Amino acid sequence: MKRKFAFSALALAAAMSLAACSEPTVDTGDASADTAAVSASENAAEPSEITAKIIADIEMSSLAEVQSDRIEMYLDVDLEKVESFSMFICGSGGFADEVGVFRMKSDADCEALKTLITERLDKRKVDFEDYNPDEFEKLGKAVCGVSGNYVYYAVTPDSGKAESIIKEFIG
Amino acid sequence: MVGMRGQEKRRPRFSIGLVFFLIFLSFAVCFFIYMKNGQIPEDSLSASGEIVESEQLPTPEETTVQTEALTVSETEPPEEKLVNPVPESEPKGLSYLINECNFVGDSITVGLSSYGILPEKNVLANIGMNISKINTATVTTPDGEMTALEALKKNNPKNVYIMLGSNGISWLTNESMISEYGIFIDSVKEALPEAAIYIISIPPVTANKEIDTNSPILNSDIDAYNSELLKLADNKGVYFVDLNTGLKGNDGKLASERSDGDGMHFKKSTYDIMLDYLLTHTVD
Repeated sequence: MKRKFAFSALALAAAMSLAACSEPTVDTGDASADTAAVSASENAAEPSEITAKIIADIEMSSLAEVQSDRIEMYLDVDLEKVESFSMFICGSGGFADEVGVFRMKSDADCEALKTLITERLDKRKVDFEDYNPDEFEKLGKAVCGVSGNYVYYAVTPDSGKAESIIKEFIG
Repeated sequence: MVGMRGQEKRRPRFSIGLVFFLIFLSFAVCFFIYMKNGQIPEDSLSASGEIVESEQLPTPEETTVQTEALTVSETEPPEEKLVNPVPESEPKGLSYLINECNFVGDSITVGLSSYGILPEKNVLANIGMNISKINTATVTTPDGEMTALEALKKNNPKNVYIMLGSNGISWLTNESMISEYGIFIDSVKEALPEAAIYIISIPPVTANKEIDTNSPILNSDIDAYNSELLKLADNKGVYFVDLNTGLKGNDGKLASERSDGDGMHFKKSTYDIMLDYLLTHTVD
């Protein structure tokens, strides 16, 4: 009787030891989501990368960068809702060339910014309609859209190329 | 004894009235003489005609000093005459333009803010602006859309630089542009009587712009217009800054490398030349 008890206790202890030494169970579902989120943020394109590519690949007039200290003169955007942005306008005043990419903190704010950009482009059309018909036409072919939490626009001599560059980065 | 009584009768009687009359007459004569010599100023008299302030006659010493002062002022040179075009002067720093100046103009002037050279609030300009619509077309300011004159009143700068004419040189007559320009100058002077006003000659264009098939502009037309601007500045008593001379080459044209592709607008480096010229041609 004592032996039976001893052997049973020994077996139980061995079983418990084996269980304690085994690796913990992994919830494969939750880990995949975390990994994907880390990958997405690491791979998210910086707006400055996109505008730099456009400016490098498409020949335009002399552009001047618009930073946060003076963006309100050109686009009445709430920077509190913007994670990062890159924007360039024509420096000389004689052309309609412009490019801008905005990464928003929330997808919900993208459409509002797109509306502001559309309003700016409409005003620029009024400025150039009688002044320079070629630039007016360029504005008519401007690229403007939303992709995820990105808002983008480009007024360039080659709107097709500008759009393809943007899609390379943010789909 | 009749004679003695007759003599007594012929002695004139003493008249108290006559005495008073003579006294009154003497006062009247004295008063008249005093008024004539004193020459009391009109503003010394109150509404009732009473003298409210009496001015002491100058002492001989004071009279001498006043005479000397009058002599000195008569020999001082007259007020400095306006010299146009504004000659070269000691260079000022960029802070002069930022803190004391506003610029009114067209797309070329827009570049001063687009390139980030000057704050947008200093640049009251718009694409396509020309002198015929300077009083109706609006410019974008930090306070919203308004005319250039409204913005000037709001900003109240010490110095106003105006450069208009590049738009219009090829389709408006000089006569009409100068006339409109003069009206605008008058309105700026009325709105800002203490401000110094500088008319900037419009810049040259490149050789290619002169033969542009769509919208050519000739430097000879620009030069003729600028000559009229110089006369306007003299007539209106404002300054004339000959930026055109500072930008053009020996051939009388804008060098192609200074243009942003269209023969008319500037690269950033050209604005550096423009600023340098403005900062070395000012009037204190």
